[in-house]
Amino acid sequence: MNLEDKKIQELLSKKLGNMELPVDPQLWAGVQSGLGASAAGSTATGLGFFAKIALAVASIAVVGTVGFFALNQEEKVLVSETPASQKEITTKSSEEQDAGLNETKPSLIIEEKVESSASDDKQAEASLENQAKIGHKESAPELNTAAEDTQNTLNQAITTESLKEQIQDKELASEQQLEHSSPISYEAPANSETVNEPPLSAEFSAKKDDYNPYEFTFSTKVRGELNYFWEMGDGTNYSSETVNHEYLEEGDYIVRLTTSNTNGATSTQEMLLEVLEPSELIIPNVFTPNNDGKNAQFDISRASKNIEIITLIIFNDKQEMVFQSDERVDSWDGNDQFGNVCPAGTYRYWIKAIGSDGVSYKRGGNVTLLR
Amino acid sequence: MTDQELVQACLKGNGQAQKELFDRYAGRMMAVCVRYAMCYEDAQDILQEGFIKVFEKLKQYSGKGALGAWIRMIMVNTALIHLRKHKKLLLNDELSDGAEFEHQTYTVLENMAADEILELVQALPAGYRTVFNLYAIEGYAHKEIAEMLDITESTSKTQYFKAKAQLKRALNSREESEFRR
Repeated sequence: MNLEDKKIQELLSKKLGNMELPVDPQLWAGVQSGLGASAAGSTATGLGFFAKIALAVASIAVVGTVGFFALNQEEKVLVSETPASQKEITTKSSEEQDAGLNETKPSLIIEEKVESSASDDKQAEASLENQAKIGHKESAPELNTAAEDTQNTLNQAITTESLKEQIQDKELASEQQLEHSSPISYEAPANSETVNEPPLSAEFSAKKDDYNPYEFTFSTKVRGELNYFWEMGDGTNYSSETVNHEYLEEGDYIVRLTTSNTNGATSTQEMLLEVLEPSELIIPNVFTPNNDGKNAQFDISRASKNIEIITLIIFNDKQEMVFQSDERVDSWDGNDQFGNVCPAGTYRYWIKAIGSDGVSYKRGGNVTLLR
Repeated sequence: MTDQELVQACLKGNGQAQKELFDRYAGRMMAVCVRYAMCYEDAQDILQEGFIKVFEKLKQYSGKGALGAWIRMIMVNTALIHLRKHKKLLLNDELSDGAEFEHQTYTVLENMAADEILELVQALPAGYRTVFNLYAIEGYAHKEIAEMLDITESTSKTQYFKAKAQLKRALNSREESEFRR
């Protein structure tokens, strides 16, 4: 995770985590009746059940309102979470709308048509419309966020390119016609070649290099006369069928492949790629559990990079085990298993750990406890 | 009265103490509920349900961690059950882009009042709002969230990613309108 994220999380936790809101005093009455009139421990639970039913009845009216909100919310979700990956461009434009950018409703509808229309001639027709729209958009006042803008243009670029090709191939429209755009008069002949073609997809997979955790090979099983457009999420793009890419720093990247065929149909697939620094086991040789809050734990996972401790066992100089890690605790605080303070001295550790990059570690050694 | 004393009194069935405990924490917990709930009425329901559970389970409170944190855990849990019951947890894996927070985002957030930020969080769709709340504000790890919501770790990550993206867009447009004013 990047540093900015971490800082923002802390800020949000601080601001929202400590926030207080006024509470309707009537709510206490609800809790009270939920607990039952008798506060005596054992009966309270039993009564609580009946009171809860009463509460449930009382809140039916509320549920009505909830329903209304829910509808609103779900609608929103639908718009921004169109599940089919083929609708990528559509999704994007609706998001732009959400953000109040310069996008007109008609273009939204048209683009959707491009993505979802099944018949080829319809698609071509819509593509033309779309092309015109893109031309228009380029001259329109520009969108505001630079990053989104580039992404957008890139996406559009591929559509434009494939469209141009398509048009040249079929010699059906000239560049000029395109700009003037009279899409309705355009009629594509039924194309018998494409009838049996499987639906276009852009599925792909990523494989991490065996030695370099920053390097990935992306490949797709989609074959045919296709154009490939890869966006690696760090600003790099490729147009080959298979891609080998090395990232410069760790982070989460959205990798996107857009395929397009000669009919101008496109399909997009995205993947969240986590690029992690190589793991490194770093074992402190001293720690000081003296209540000054500094270096108080023998904390290997904290000192190390991207590792998870499987087992950590500590022995004292009499070969007695004083600590063993479990699911919750993977660092030693200098106390034995009964909570007794261990004296200062040298202790023997044995550790088994695994790195997030798959490297496993086993190591034994000494650590000094100072008080 | 300290939290510990209050808990002891509540366990003895002292109604006054129960009320006191409610008053002490209800405000903070309301802010938690509002973040998860779909509307204010829902939040009130969750708050009530949550506090009923708090009193019913008070015996199980070990007294080790802060009482506030314990109550909050119950409240978050109640909220999740509520969302699940009302099928508000729509989670899917699809991604949108532009989701890294930048320094500028931090500065904007820093200058905003808590209730303004709350509004932004509330505007997030239920699915990724939940993950965002759990991860960014409550501080759970994706692995834990995956278990809590019965989703994969990767879904939790993508949901969080999407929440970030939307929040960032909201902040951008907010800043823009501020500028125009």
